Amino acid sequence: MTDKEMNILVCVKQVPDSHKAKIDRKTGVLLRTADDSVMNPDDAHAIELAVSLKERYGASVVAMTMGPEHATDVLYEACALGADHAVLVSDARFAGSDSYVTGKILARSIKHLGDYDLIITGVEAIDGSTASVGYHIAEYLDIPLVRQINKIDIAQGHARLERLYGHEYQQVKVKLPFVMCADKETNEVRFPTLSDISRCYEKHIHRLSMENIGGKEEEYGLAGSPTIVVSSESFSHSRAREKIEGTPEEKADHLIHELKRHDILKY
Amino acid sequence: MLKKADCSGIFVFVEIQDHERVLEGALEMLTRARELADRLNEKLYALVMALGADEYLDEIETYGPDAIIYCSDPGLKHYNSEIFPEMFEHLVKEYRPSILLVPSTEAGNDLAPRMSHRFHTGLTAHCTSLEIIDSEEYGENLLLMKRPAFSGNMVASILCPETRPQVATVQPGVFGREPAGKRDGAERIALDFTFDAGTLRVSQEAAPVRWDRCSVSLEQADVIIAGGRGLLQKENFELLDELAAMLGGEVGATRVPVFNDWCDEGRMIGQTGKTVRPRLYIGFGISGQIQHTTSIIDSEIIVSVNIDDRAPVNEISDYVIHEDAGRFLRLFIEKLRNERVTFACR
Repeated sequence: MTDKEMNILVCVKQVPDSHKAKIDRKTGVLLRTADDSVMNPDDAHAIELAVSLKERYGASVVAMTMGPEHATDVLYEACALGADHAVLVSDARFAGSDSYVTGKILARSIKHLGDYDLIITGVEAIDGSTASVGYHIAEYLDIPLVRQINKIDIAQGHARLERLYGHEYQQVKVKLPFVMCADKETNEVRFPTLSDISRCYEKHIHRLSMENIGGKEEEYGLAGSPTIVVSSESFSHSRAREKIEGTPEEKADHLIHELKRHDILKY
Repeated sequence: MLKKADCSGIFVFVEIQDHERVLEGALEMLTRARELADRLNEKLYALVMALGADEYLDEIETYGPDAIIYCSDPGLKHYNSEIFPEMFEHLVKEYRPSILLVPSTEAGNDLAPRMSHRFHTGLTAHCTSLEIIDSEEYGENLLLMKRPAFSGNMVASILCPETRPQVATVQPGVFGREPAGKRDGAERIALDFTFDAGTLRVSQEAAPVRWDRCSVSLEQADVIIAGGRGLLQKENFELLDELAAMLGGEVGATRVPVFNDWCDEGRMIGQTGKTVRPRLYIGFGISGQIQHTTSIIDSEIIVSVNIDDRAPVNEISDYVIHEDAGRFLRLFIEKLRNERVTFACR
């Protein structure tokens, strides 16, 4: 058991709610509803992991997000789930940052805030991320990163982990600090109580900008990003949509006929 | 940081699976990389690090790399996130490839972002397409990487114009696998294993415990018979096995059957990273949530069987059968049995 309280930092991201997305029946094009934003699902699992460690060992949990002002929504949500502190890293100059730059921004923010025993991120963001931000943080801070964690025990500045790799559950030992990535395999996210939800809006949001974390403007944002999205196309779903008619037997016969025609079935 | 003008060549991480075979996805990547290297007129390097890398060299050579850089050591039996990135970092610094291709697997998804960071370069993950383009705005001979975005409803085209190497991970199953035509053979470059195991920060404590996951690869299947909520009972879902066996296919599922314990989680199609492209996909009792439909959209033929006339999956189907899924499944199996057909897919 560690003598002092652990410091855990969790990175969370606000993303568009793709579950609410619908496809236009006529054109097969995505209809995007405006401003339906949620906490990235994997990140909720990251918060849950942090809070459960807090309950077991005693810890202070900081939730941090990089985003525009309305990203504070996910910080409030993190607090309702049990985070103690909230940090918003926000600067107009960060807009358009790709994963590499985002990782750098978060890593510098973490360094600015101080030392942490554990840093937890979600594995992947649903809005087209590279599942790499946790890695950029680990590489920048030069600490290990462990994924697919099944069990974790912490004692005397070390973590003993059971993690899945390939077909094996490996038993490993890592010295603190290190980065962990969580997703739906890791745990089940708790439901916040009504009183937690009502109290979370009272949380103070600590704000960081480029001035706080350092670096030069050209390192950040669109200009600082090594990758660029040159175009984005809707995925067109144009299919024959032939409705097979008749009795069930006739339908089965027709389907078999079509599969033969397409050279899927042969005599 | 590598200078663009100094870089040339394509590196492919040829991952060894279960320390016994070359990952099929790696051979698929080599196939495509050979075409890209020809287009660029640059060298293609296959990189193999394994317990006994030598045994894979002949097979890898048939896919036409110009050189195979390999290292054999017990320390390389499993992918290790401290050893492999360090070795790759040295090799990238030495050979200065302009492109690094990595399969989108557990190992690859650990290696690629670390390389991206160490070389201050971009990473495009889960690519579904790779080509070389000339862009007026960004330059010549650039790797254009396409990947799904917004849960698969969009396709984003991405460039990494200035930094090197351009790093991409590719899903197994995206590219076809085709040995190269007659070529001169690959230069074989053997490396000594010099990693100091004393520097490892994540250490193994006890012997690992084996976990047998469902060993089928849905990504490689030519025929997928999938079932969803509309099958109503486990009994009906289990019939999918029979139909799959008759058609030489694999069984897939949406979230509900897994949740109801009708099948193993490994069958689920519609979680991050799993896309399938069978010749034939038949969905029984699947309504078609976005996560599932975008994962199956590349199927050559999509058939949906559903009691709900307005199921979203119908929009992306070639054939729609408006029937109770369980009943139609039984009927279809019966009919096929009488037909005594064989399946054309290999």
